[in-house]
Amino acid sequence: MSSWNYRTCPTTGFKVHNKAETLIQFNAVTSIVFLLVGGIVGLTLALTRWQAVHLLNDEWFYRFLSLHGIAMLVAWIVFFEMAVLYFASAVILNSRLAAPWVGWLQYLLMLVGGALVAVMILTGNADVMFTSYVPLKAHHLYYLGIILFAVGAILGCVVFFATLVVAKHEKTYTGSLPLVTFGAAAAAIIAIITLSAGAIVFIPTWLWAAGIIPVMDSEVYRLLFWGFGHSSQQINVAAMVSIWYLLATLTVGAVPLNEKVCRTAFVLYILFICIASEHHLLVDPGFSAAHKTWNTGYFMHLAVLASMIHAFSVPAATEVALRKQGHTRGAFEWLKKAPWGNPGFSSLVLSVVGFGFLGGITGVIYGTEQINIIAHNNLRIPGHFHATVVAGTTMAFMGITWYMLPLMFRRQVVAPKLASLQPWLFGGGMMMFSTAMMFAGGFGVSRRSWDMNGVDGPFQVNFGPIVDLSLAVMGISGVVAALGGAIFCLLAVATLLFGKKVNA
Amino acid sequence: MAHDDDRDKKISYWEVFYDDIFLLFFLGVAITYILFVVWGLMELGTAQPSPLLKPNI
Amino acid sequence: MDLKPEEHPKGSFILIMIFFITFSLFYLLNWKYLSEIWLVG
Repeated sequence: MSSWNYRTCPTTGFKVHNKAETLIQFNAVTSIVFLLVGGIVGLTLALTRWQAVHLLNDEWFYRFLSLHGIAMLVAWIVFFEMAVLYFASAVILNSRLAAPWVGWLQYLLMLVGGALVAVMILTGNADVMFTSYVPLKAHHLYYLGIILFAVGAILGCVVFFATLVVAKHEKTYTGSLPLVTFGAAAAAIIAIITLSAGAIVFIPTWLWAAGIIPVMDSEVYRLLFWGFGHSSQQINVAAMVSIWYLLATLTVGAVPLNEKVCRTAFVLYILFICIASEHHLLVDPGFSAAHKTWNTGYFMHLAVLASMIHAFSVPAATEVALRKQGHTRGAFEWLKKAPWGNPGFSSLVLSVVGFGFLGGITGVIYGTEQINIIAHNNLRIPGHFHATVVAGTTMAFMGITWYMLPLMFRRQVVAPKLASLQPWLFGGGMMMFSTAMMFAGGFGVSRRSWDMNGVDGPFQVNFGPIVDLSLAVMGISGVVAALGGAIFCLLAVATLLFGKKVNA
Repeated sequence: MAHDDDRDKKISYWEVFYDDIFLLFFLGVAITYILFVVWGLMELGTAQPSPLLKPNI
Repeated sequence: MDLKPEEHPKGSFILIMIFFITFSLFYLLNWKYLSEIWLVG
């Protein structure tokens, strides 16, 4: 009981458990460190795929590409999600965090695992890309690092669920879980599905890499890897959508028009979103058309329906809130008079537009079995996922950070005008980057290739000036987006170190 | 107090279902593993060698 | 939620219609280009 110290946030009225707050802070700061690492190497990759610059040599290109994938898709995002889970459970429910020592074990395992993976990649022991497809074999410590990271993340989810039980038992909230916590629970359930698939695939792969078992079937690996790999991105979707609702509430006081419908959409995510990992297996032999069609369609597109529900619900709730403030002239006065200078609001809008228009539409289309035959393995695919994961999820996480800094770290954001500009640089740059990538991919430019012209290869390919132009646009937009990302990291760190203390 | 009793009576089955996070957890894991993993492994396990394979001479 | 007439989200409805039209157009364009590359029969 004596360790259950709380403070009451004067802004939100939440009771914040001190141990939860410390864990949130550590996970959030660590996530930004990985974002910085992934962002720096990402910039070098963009400047390499921009053929006119071609910055890195082939060896370092593939090495940095592996590191960029792990740092961004796994490390930055999952550390941030751990912070989100602790916030959505302990803080929103005004509860103590269940078993904080398990939370610290989570942090330690993820930190050690993430660092081990990064070291293995940088020392040239794991030039196997984020996907590490068998029979490509990395040093066994690389796989061990991923296992440790995954076990840590599972523990974080366990603490989240345990905190929900504690909160219910100790009656710290009444009625159903709040919508943001419900969305975070959807993310945590998807995380358990993801990480268990990861354990099933990475443990035998680790044993194979260590020479303990002789064979690891490559198609079984692909099936299980993508059960982990794509589902991990669906955790991001559920967490991102929860943060959309939270940002809409914090920025304009929005309330969902119909919570039943929103919760139904989250339930559809829980039930059906993970099976769409199949779209990574569309060109693989061994799976029937039935397996491909049922799974890649998110079970008759029910999980896509869920995304459509959120895509209407979030803007509609925002519009109603702004109309209630008096902006009722015409169809779009609410949009003109919206708080665009608030980086949380602009991040929300950029995230919804980037994820929905650019990422969502292209994802469903490229994941169609027949269209995938010509979309597979060219730049259209990274163009799609930079729109979803970067312009979508990362943008939303950056947006909520502008609120978390004063609320959880109790520091006023430094340079607020620069903070207002940051989402436009990052989101705008990234949307342009994705579009240019997809345009080049439409011409057949391959992904994961150091040089698109086939230099030193048996075939030379000439793509023509339009492709060179689109790769140049990609490179320049990448620089703009990297600048936005750098400003975010700089302002976050500067706020932690030099920001004026608030809510003391 | 009467209002609270009315509220209790009006909780729909959907709300009870959605409030049961651990049931949702179970269903999510089950549907994913059955439709994607188990079905996929069954197909891989019963895949025949390609007719294009040439025997080693 | 009971909304007054001026609070109805008309703008969001228009934006979503634009979204659905974009979705349909992009989907149809991709199928059209595929049909020109991958001839059947």
